[in-house]
Amino acid sequence: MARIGLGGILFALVLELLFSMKTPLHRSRGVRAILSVTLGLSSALLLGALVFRSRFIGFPALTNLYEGLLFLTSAILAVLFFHTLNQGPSSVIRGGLLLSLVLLILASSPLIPDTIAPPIPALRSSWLVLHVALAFVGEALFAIGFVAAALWFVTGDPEKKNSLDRLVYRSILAGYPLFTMGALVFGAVWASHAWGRFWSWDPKETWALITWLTYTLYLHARLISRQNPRVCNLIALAGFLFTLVTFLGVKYVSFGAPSLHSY
Amino acid sequence: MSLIKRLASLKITYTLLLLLILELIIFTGLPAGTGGNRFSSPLFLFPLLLFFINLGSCTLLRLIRLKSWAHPSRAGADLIHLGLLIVILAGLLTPLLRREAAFSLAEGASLPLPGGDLFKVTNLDFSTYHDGRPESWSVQGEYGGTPALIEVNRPLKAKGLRLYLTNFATRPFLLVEEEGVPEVRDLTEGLMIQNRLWQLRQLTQDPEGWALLFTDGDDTVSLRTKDPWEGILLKDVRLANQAHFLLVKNPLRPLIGGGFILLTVGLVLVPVAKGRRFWQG
Repeated sequence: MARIGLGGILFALVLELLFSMKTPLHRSRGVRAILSVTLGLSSALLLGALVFRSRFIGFPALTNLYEGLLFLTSAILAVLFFHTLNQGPSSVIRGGLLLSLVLLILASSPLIPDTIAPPIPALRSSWLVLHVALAFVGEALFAIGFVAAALWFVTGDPEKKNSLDRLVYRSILAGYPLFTMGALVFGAVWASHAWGRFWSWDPKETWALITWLTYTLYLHARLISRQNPRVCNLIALAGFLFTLVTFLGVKYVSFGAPSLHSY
Repeated sequence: MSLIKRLASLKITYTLLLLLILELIIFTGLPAGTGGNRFSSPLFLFPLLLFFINLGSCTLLRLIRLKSWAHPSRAGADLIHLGLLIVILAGLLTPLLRREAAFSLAEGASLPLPGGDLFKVTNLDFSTYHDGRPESWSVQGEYGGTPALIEVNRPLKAKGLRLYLTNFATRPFLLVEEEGVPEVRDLTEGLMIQNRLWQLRQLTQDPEGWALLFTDGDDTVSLRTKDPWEGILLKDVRLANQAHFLLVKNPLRPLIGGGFILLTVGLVLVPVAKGRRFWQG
């Protein structure tokens, strides 16, 4: 199912390219509708792969890096699906699809084992499911914010810049509460149930805090003091880079102390 | 009021947020064991305390001047700020008030916990998947005469204490006879023989008994049960399952829980109360 999801992303990417180039299909409502359906289906297929794994292991399949990557990609595709329904900028859909493609290629690489294994006792907690799922949905919205922020820097058209800037803001605004609740609040509650302490300065926890502080800085700069969009979008770029360090970097790069997190 | 206004300055917020981000990046990158406990050093705690004052002043200013508590659309941000203030305060007080102790108990063993009640382990249940990873851990016992079940993620809660099940281990014990006197030696920390501490490196069982491999530096000794060694006779080996526990007393737990609830309610309230206006930026 994950492979069909990968195919779906490639198909959506081709459709999006057809849609954006000056072909006879340019601005065709039919192509746009097919694109929306493909995005929705690809997201559902990846989620389906996780449901299948969940049935096999007897617990929601969000307990290793492979499953995390599938869920994050599915969430990004779901955000893009809603984005197409709202007639969002085409370039953001393309960027989001490329990001999803990179994540799924990474998930299919030998770097990430896809073994289906039931979780160890500490991971069998409903707090873990809330913690991971909400954090990933928040990160998916941050990903769209990142794509829009990156495009803001390469776009010259002031109208497009304005629209991209608003998209960065909305994505982060929607992702921030989910990430805060998932990564920090529910993560701390689960840690307290499993290990007897809310916070232990594990590298993954610390990087999640760095990410959260960065987006807090963004929201204050954008919402209260209405800083220059360049500064705000730079913070948004940094925020997503920190999100990637939290998600992937801590596992593959040594950060002083070893992490207790399974991925 | 002018002091509070100065302390609540957004410029101070930005400076402190950037400083904390930078410090966290540097501290996380430092190799383990260097610089002591970096997150409880003044270098980290002082900016955190300043951030607490800045956030507190800002919240106070909003509550007094903007009367934000009377406007649902503004109250969400205040709840987030109040929740954060509580969580930071609890974080600063935790090293002073939280107490913890770790201990291990085998089946049948007991230990008096603070308050005087006895905790006794009656049954240990530990199972593994076919690949050797732990599948389930649980401990049945008695606490103060009443039955108690402790599982991973389900600590025992009683009298302000929480008892967590943190690990399982099988501990080897050696039954020896020295000058005709039987003795039991715990091999977990090693075996002291004639002022030398021998570490158990390998333990295997076959139909003829146990085979043990000890090392001390470069010296290696391979023995079997019933063998004499430096004046002692190795009679038998017994394995005992043990559970590791963490006993925690954290009077700040309700405070932290309250902070999290305020934070969560605030995060939900902000977009709901502000509606469309909020999303337009």
